Amino acid sequence: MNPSLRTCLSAGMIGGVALLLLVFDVVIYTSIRSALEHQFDSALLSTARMLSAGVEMELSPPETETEPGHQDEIAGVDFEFDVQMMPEFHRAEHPAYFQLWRQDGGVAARSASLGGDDLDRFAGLDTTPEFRSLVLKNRRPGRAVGLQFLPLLEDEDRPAEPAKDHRLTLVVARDAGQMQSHLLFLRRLLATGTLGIMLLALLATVLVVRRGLKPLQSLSAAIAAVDESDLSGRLETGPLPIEIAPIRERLNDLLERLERSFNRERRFTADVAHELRTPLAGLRSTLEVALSRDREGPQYRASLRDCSAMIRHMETSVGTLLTLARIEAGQVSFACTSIGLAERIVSCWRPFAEKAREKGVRLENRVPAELTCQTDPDYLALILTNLLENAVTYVNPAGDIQITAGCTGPYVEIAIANSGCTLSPKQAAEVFDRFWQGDPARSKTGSHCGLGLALVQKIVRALQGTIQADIDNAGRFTIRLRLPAGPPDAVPGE
Amino acid sequence: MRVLLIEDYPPLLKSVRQGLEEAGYAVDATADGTEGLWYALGNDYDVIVLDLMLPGLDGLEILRELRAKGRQNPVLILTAKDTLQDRVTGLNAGADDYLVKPFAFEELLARIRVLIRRNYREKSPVLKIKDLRLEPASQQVWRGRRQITLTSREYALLEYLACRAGEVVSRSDIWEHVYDFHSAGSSNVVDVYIGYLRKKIEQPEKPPLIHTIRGRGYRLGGPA
Repeated sequence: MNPSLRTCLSAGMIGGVALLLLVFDVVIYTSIRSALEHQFDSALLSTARMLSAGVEMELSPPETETEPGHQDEIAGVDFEFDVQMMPEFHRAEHPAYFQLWRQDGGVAARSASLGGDDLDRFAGLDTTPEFRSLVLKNRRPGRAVGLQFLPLLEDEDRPAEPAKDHRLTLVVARDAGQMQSHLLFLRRLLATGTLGIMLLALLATVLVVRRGLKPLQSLSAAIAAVDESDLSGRLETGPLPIEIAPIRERLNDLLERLERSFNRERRFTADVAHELRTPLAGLRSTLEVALSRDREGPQYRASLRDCSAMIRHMETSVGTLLTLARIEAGQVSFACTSIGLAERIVSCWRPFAEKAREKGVRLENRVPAELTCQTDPDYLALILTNLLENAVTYVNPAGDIQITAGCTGPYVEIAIANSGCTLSPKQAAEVFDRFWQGDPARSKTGSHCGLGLALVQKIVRALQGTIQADIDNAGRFTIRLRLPAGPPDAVPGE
Repeated sequence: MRVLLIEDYPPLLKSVRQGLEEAGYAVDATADGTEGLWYALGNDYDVIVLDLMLPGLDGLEILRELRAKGRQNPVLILTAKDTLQDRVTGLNAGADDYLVKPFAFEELLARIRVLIRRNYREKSPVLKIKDLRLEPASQQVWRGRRQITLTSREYALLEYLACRAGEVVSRSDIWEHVYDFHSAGSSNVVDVYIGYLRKKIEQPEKPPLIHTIRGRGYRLGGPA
């Protein structure tokens, strides 16, 4: 399973806060510790300096050098140590310690608190003091400073000569328990604080993430609420953050396209249903009525003839509907060639010539013989056949049908007009609607299903042409058809 | 019983008309909406069978116009529109029944019979007047245990009288409900058919069923 956005965001935020707090803690702790140590060390160093200032060296003959038994006064080195001034080296609880060594390693002096024990001997180079942490004699933590120095010379008559051999080493150690307990307190404080902040951060993260993801959840709920049987609704989520709002817009766009496509599908289904149900109803009722009792042969034959006509009607409807659906779905490809228009009109007119003669209709074909257009011959034939059939069907007896054509810019314009139209000029645009049946005469023939002009319009548009109908007050119905004269690509898209 | 059929698909119009006529109905049929409304307003039909998509005037407009003029004739919508919305719209516009194409002819007949029965406040599918029994579904008639064979027209006349049993029915009512628009002759034909009916259903040993009410018309059975 993919990690959830909530988990990623929460983990990222908590991790970030934890890292920041850790860095903060380390910086705070180290700086406070170094400040405390620095303070401690300064005090330690000043004690050591005071001690060293009390050391005087007597340059006496070597025989006077050893005088055991006196702790504070060792031969050659006079150590003036005032207990009153520095009681810390004598007190019983948490005492301080010092030890003084000569250059040769011999102990020149040590504090009473040490008893007979030694401190570690160390010192920085020359006069630079060195500090160390250590465990004191009483097992408590301590800190010590070690330094080398040249004591004052006791003999005032002789000038002091700086001699390396006269250098002494002093180590002073002091109880650091209090500082350590301060640092321990600081560590606990930081740990508690960090833990508390982490808990608060966790809580805040959960709340913030939940709140931040709420728009996504509401979007998701809105998507879940979309009903596949009714796509007319759009995602309504109230105000969304600018990062998510475009998602809703894109989804709504998608829904709209889906809805259009579904509606097209539904309309097609409804059309098919209507176009097929009616003749099916006719077939069924004709057959059931015919079978309902014994009849004479001619009656059966009449019923069968009716059935046969209805089936032909259904075939035409199915073919037309399929063509319409294919064109709407863009599944039709056109093979465009150059076509002589006048010639094509003559061949499309042929099936209707007989009917026109019967009605006494006159045809005027005024299309120039040399006029050509670049289009698909089969579909052009379909268009012309439909338009001519309409003209023949709706023209008044002894009326006339007129076909004219010419070139205008990149288009060939064809006009097919017939007299005797009973529609009002306002109804002209409606003739392209599916199943619009303006004339009751249509149903008498049973062959027109109100799809012809809808089909023609679809084909013309697919061929990058235009078609319009108009009716003048004299009852003249004219269809104006514009088709590309050249190759389709050369024409700007409609 | 007289039925108006408004349907714009000629083969369907033709076959339904034939079927209804063979079932004993007087049928007026038209493929045009405007003409259909004219028929519907001009006569008191027992049932109007109405297509919705019509040239001239839409079926729903005809229905609304009829109801707006206070006409209560039962209307059965016969259409290829089958969505729930279409049915609801049709029924809300005042239709009494809705049948989707394609349909079984038997079902159309049965539904028409229901509408007629309801119109004459009959609940039972069998009409009974004393020992006379009519079964509209099969168009069979019995007097006691004896089955009586009637022609379509005679049956139609008897059924109409039976539906209004106990009432005095005028000749012109009978003329209007039993004969279609194109029937030749006049309401005198009614008297002739009453005579045929009497010969077939009356029995000499029993009191008469069909009474002539002078100057007003006929009554089947005793007064209501």
